[in-house]
Amino acid sequence: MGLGPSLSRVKPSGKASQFSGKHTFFLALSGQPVPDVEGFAAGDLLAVSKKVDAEAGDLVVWGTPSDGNFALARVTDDYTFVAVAGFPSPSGQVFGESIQGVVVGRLRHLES
Amino acid sequence: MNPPRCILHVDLDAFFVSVERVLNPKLCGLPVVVGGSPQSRGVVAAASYEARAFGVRSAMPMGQAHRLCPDLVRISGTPGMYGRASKAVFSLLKSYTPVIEKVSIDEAYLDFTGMGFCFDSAVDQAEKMRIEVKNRLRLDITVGISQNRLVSKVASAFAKPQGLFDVQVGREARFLAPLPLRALPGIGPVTAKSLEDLGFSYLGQVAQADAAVLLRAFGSQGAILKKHAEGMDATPVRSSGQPRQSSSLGHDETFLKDTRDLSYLEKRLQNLLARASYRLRKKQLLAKTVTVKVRKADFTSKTQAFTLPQPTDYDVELLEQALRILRSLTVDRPLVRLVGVRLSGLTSGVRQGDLFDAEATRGRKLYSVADQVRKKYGFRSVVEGSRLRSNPSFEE
Repeated sequence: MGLGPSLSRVKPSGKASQFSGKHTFFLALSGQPVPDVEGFAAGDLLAVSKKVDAEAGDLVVWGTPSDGNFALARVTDDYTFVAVAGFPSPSGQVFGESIQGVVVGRLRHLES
Repeated sequence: MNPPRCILHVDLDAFFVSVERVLNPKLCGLPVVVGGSPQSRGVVAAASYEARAFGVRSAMPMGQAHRLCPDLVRISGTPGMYGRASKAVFSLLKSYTPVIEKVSIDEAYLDFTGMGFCFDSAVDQAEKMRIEVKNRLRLDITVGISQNRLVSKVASAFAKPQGLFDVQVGREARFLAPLPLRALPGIGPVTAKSLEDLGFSYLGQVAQADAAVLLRAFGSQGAILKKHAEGMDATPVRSSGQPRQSSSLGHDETFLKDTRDLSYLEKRLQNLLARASYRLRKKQLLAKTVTVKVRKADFTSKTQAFTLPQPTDYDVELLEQALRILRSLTVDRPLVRLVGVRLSGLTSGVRQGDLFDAEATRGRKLYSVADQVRKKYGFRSVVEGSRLRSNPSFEE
């Protein structure tokens, strides 16, 4: 997906690992920071729920998992998808099929 | 329009063990538990994450913990130290918000609503808080952040240890939806089993369930269950000036040896109930429901509750029902390991004397005098003759 921030699938440590898998997965945010998206920072793990439908205002993950390519987009009130800072625009994609899930939270394991 | 609430749940990681490690850094990295010795049938009060990797859990009998992890290091505990450490942590947290409610020795809710850094920088504040606790007190905290207490508690459980999890504003139901039933506070094994019997496996299914189905299965609790599964909880955070009323109080006792001796069990239950009702009167509360628990030698437990026609703080009224339940639970004379009693349905108030029952009025006066003596010299300074200990007959 070019330069800028990137997302890669990870298995979290600790208790969160028990919830990772069938319905929820985690993506590690790396590269360029994305300060205008919920205060996310490099190193944050985004918890993504596969089990829920995207609604207006949601931050969704889209891309092609087989290539390991993921990006974030925001669902607008008229149900269009807009790119969020640093990630490529979803325009021109077969969007419905490429949505991987909805971001429901952010996990940050603080280093000792 | 009110701004969204911003509630943090802060939980100290493996608290007792972490305090012991501050006192003795040689314990770091080892499987450590704090608790009573297996000889005195002690249980695990806290386990390090290294011990948990072997399956050791809180409330597990110490003998079983040692069998699971032969290299387990057991510490009896350092009286007074945990309270001091807890006080130090929470006074530090108070510098971040005046609205903080300590719910146990190692857990608190903090309200950051309207403090200007909701939500983006609430995470930064939480991170600063965690680093400050680590640097100054050498203890780890885990933080859950969301719009309400319930979801923040689930979020902190999700992030343990040494983590921070913030649930996106308005995504509370979606965060909970894929989680298993037991992830929600308040869903214990019995409720989970009942929900599974109704065909539910995940919280999202409970959130979407027909309210009438839950009402039929759980009564008025069904509506609360549905709301909670939807990620809704309006409970405020009460700072120390606004004490949170306990929903129940009680005591239990594990015997040195298992027994079938009913008269011994009755005396121990009476003792536990006397403690509980003394606490009730001290807090000027009345209880409506008395619950008795019996745990058998094979670790299976039975509980039974009775709701009184009107709330009371009077030992005699509570004891009558407690003893009746105990007899009903032990009708097959099981070998008993533990008995416990819990008083719930608590309301504020003090029962006045009964105009038509002079004996009860005298009894209440007697307990009132006994309470004054106990307040000055401790609970054990007054013992009813009927509560005096007899030697039980133990199974050989």
